[in-house]
Amino acid sequence: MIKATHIVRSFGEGDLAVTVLKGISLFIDSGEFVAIIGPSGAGKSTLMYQLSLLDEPSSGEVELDGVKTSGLSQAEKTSFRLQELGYVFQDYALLPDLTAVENIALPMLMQGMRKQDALVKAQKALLRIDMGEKANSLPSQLSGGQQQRVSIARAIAHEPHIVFADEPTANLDSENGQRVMESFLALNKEGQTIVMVTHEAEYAKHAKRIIAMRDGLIVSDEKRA
Amino acid sequence: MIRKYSSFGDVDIPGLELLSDVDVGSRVRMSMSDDAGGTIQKEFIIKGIVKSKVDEISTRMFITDKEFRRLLPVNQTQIQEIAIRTDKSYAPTLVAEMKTFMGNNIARIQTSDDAIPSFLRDVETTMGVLGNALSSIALVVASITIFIVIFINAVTRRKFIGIMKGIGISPVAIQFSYVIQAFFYGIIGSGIGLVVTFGFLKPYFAANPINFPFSDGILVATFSGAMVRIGILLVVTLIAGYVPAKLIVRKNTLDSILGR
Repeated sequence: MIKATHIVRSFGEGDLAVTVLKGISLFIDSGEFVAIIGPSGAGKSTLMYQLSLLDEPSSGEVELDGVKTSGLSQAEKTSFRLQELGYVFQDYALLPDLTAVENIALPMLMQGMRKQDALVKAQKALLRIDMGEKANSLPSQLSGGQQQRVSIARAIAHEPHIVFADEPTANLDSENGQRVMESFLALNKEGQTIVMVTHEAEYAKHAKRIIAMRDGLIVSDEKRA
Repeated sequence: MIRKYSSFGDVDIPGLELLSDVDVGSRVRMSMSDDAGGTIQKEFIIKGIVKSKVDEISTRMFITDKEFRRLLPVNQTQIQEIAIRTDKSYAPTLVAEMKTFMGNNIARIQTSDDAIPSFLRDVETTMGVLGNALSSIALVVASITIFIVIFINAVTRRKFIGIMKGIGISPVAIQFSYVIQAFFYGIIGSGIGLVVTFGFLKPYFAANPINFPFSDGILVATFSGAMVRIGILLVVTLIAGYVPAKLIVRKNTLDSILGR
């Protein structure tokens, strides 16, 4: 569950200050698949960074699973991200020296899980996205679409409460983009909460809820059947 | 005494009689006076040549204790020096005991180290200071090199560091990985240094000493001394690895991910 209350995010100071988020409040329930859309500069990625604890709002409060995050220290936020959140970045963000299965196992190893257990869970996560045969491939040996699916596997392997995806299809062709969306849909059907930022309406329509932004404000919030 | 090995072998100096046609393995007869004013003659076989750059030592004749007993009753005033071979660590104790037993007036009793001329001791000290200075410079160079290597490594991977922090990996764990990397470099460098020093340089200089006018120069490197230096290097390495890693890891996570 995500609850954001009057989130403001400004950059710079004084006359040069730019306010990117102008007091956003929203509630995302567990199990939802939400797409945040909007034109470039609307503030959608900035909103996602606030919700996912990658950035701190200038004012306002973000509550995740009942935890008020403004009171958390940096170390506590890092730990919270590791335990409760999963991330899919636009450029996949896989570590180039690790194989696919090692990339996925890394967050679980950092959680203190035994290496063997982490690798087994990583392998299962790869199977969930039909990438089992690429377990021992390095990122450089995978296509963009395959890397993004490995990135999705990394985001879900440790069973986070919420998965955040920042423009996950931006670097992919339509076929691979479609496969990534199918992976998200399959995960969401299993109950996974997903918050995705995209500027591509074609992919946003897969989500059950679409939040549209413009100039730092939510201009529409539509739930789909 | 033997012309072949004498510095004055090619000139005739009045009063200086050198032995010609004599070499290692030759049999020579020596005449010495005894306490009663008579003459003792004994034959010796030359076992070897003491080669030294200090004339005071090169012009001496050395005989063993067993041969010395064969000469008795030689006039003992003709004996200039008695060398006793013993364990180096026991030498100071032996000297102290002999002084207690014999007193200080009969002879000068000293260890071989004490007998080293002061100018040689000064040279040795100077070389030691130079060695320590070079070691210190090498340590600074090594630490700067490792700092730069780790810094560049961390800067070029800043985005990945940001990603790791983003997905929840503790900054301490990331810093630790760079410290381990620096430590690895230190260990590898130290290993190479040990192999080069003890496997190549030390044996090489032992076989081909530097030809100083007063002495042969060899490389003095002890394993324990090397271990102390390696210990210092590894501590410096850890610091040189930690600081740049800390500088990069502490940067804002989102800025690192987005390359801002």
